[in-house]
Amino acid sequence: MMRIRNLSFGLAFLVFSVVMSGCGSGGSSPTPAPGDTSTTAPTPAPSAGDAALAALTGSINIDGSSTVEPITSAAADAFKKVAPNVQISVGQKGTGAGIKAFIAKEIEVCDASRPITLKELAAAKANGVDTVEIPVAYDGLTVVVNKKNTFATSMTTEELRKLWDEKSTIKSWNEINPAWPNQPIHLFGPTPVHGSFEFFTTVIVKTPKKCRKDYQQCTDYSGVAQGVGQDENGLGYLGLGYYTQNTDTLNPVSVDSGKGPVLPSKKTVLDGTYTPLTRILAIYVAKSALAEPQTKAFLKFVVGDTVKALIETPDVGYVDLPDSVYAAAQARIDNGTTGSVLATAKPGTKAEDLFH
Amino acid sequence: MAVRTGEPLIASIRRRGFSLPRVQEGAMRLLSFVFALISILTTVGIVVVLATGAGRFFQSVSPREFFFSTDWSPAYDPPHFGIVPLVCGTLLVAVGSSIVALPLGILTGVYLSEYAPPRLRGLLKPALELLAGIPSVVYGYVALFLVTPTLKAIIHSIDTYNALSAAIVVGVMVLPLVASLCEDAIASVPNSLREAAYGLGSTKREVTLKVVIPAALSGISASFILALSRAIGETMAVSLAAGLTPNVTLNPLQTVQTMTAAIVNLASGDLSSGGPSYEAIFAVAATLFVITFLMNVVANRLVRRFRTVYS
Amino acid sequence: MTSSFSAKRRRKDRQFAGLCLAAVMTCLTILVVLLIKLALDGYRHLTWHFITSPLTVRASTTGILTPLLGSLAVMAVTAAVAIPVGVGAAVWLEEFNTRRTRLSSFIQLNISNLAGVPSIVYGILGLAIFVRWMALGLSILSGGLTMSILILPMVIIVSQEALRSVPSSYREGSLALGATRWQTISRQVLPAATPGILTGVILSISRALGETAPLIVVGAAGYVTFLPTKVWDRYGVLPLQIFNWSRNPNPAMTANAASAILFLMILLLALNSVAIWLRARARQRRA
Repeated sequence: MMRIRNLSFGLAFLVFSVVMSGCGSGGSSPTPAPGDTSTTAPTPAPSAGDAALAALTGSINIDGSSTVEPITSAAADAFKKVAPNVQISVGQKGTGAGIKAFIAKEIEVCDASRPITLKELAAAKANGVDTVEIPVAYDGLTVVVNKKNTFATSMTTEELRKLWDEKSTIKSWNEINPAWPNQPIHLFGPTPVHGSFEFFTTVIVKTPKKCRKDYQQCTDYSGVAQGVGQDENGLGYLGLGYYTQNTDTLNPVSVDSGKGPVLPSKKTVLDGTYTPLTRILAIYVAKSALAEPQTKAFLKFVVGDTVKALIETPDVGYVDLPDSVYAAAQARIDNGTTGSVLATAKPGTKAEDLFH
Repeated sequence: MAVRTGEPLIASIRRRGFSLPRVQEGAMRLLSFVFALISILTTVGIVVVLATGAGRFFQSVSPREFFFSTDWSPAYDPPHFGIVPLVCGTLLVAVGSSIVALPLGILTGVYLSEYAPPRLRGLLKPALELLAGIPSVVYGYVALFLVTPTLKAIIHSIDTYNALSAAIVVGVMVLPLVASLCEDAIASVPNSLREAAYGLGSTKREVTLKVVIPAALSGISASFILALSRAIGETMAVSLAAGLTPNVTLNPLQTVQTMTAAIVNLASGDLSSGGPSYEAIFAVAATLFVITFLMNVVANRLVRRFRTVYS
Repeated sequence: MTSSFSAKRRRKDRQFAGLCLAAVMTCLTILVVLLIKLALDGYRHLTWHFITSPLTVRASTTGILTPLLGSLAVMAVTAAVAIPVGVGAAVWLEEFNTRRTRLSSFIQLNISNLAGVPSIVYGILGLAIFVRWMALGLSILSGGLTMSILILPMVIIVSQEALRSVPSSYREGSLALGATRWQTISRQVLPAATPGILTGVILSISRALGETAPLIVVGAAGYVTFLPTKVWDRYGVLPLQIFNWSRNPNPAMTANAASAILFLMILLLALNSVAIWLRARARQRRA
């Protein structure tokens, strides 16, 4: 009995000391963690407008896609520095629920990782909400394989289509390319309710919302990164930021859409050579909300230079749109242009062709 | 007699006259009854929300497809709504977690109330409560970064997302509930029963197994049911550990999607709300509700049969 | 005395005691392994600065003050609603309800059923009732109310078990001396059942502290620019922040998630300690 008691007290003491020592050793100032090489946002030149911004009050309620949430959060974080009295909150209940809340006038701004549908636009209109669409960033989808996979360095869009097709029976690497080894292939991808699924199936598999059903479904890009990173035979697709932050476990696959293999990078996504896997992320705002000074100022800030620099930081991980598109977005905010361009656009079209 | 048990307030006042304690009694009785009714209101609310949603769903999807098809792909085009893979997933995780939690839980409860010296008991009970308090998200994290890698080292063929990991983690999650409630139930068995058994010459083991546990059976069963219900309804930890790929299998080493993971996936996804793909949430939740309800009805009957009241 | 038992019975007795002990040791080992793993993963960034800084989107500057305040505020609302309602309902079911009508068995069945409903359904219910119908909006109040209906079944069930474990001799003695039922309950039964009720309340509040999915549906934010202080403010909660940070592409952020987990664990430990102290005091008073 004595021994049991002593053992238990010993255990308790061990636990307690581990937990307490964790607090104690953390007393030193935080050391910058590896990978946190984000550049500081460029401080905007002081102008008369700054005083006006600083005087803004009110609140902005944002909700919607958890994929776009990092962008609006980063923007809100930076906006706090120039307009500290504006209270902004960003939720993440998903594009579908977000648009529903947007239509119900519970939120003023909706993050969306898929274009708003015509039906949703009509429902909004019926409830008195005029929708303004504002493009914010490119999501460059990257096809990745495990770091140990040194043979699959490039694939054509046709090979990808055959691999992911609904009726595909490809089970090993050599069925895609005879030069590759006869190893089983394990596919990873975001779950079909994720916005990128519809995009990927439309531009690569050429059958919207249809592809083979035996791939490992992950809640989001981080799950795919984990899955492929731990499986030598893994192949999956995820956002560019998730690849660049995991280069120690993942290898990219160049995509050849007919003009030679192109490696995804900020440059190739921006100039359009990496195609067709670049999708446009947008936010939707109610025209009536634009009448409020703090909302208008915030949205102009979102498509402004400060946030442009933040979009490409490791914490956010997307790619900027071309300057012309941001200028067009500014104009949309100023004019309150309603309606959605993306709802009827062909996925994979370059942003500058849609917004001018 | 001053108080007749169960006598209505008005009759009592008429009989004995007005007095503060009696009014207080009536007021508290009413207030606590209202509070008890709130639980009914909650159920009514849930049933209304689920039934109307499921009603909308079954207008476009046939019940036969829903209950018997093995293809769950609500976001595909065309969508398929077969709940069989989800039921397999839920079953695997629930049964697996029961295998982990129930034996460990009841033995721990027995130890805590029968064998443990008071100081050790004072240490163990809080330790169990701490285990219970760990949030689901943290258990999901633990499953991904501790349990699955450990399992992978032992069983190489296991998937990254697998049902076994989820079952272990959910089992650990409900274990304190079972232990705590079992311990309370066992501790409340009057000592006179134990003393009588010892007096007749039983060993501690015989007293525990043949006298105490049967006497505490209603409390023990209540803890089992609560634990199983909790395991079936667990969401975050399971979706993080077992994954989101629907799979008709009874092999715990494979990835599965439980009903709760399917609900969360659909609710927080990017699908348009409206249309059967979204309404499927209500259909799955309604099915889950009915299953838990039936389980509880059966369990209630069992508990009532075994319940013995000691003064 | 033991010499009168056969060797076989003695052996079985020891084996059983050993089995029970092994079970307990397994539980403790699991807890210790978990805590060590969480501590090792998280201690690096858990600094005072981390705990007291508001949320930012940069891994090196962010802190958990914002979601911490949100969690505490939601918990306060939850406790304020769920404890009185839950204990009150249990009191009615166990003490006032002596006639065991069909209504009461139905309520009973109902409560055990509710305990198994997945938490996200409560989120959907909370959205429909508190956010939309009662027009409380995306606020701490709707979040807290949603959490309270989520933990209500659990509070009721454990309170009932606690009340059941009070010997009827307490009640009978009090009633025989002429006390009303409520006087018996408030002065004899409830104080006697307090330790058990506290256990249940601790378990329930800890569960509410760790919930994520229903709060997302009811509007909890992954990022807010201000510190939530009023009940109609929008808010974030710790488990949601952990969830978000763990999915961030930047490994520095996922490290922050581990630290936030460790902090949450310490918070729960503190919560449990307070409850233990309360429970010990209640036991002392009764004795």
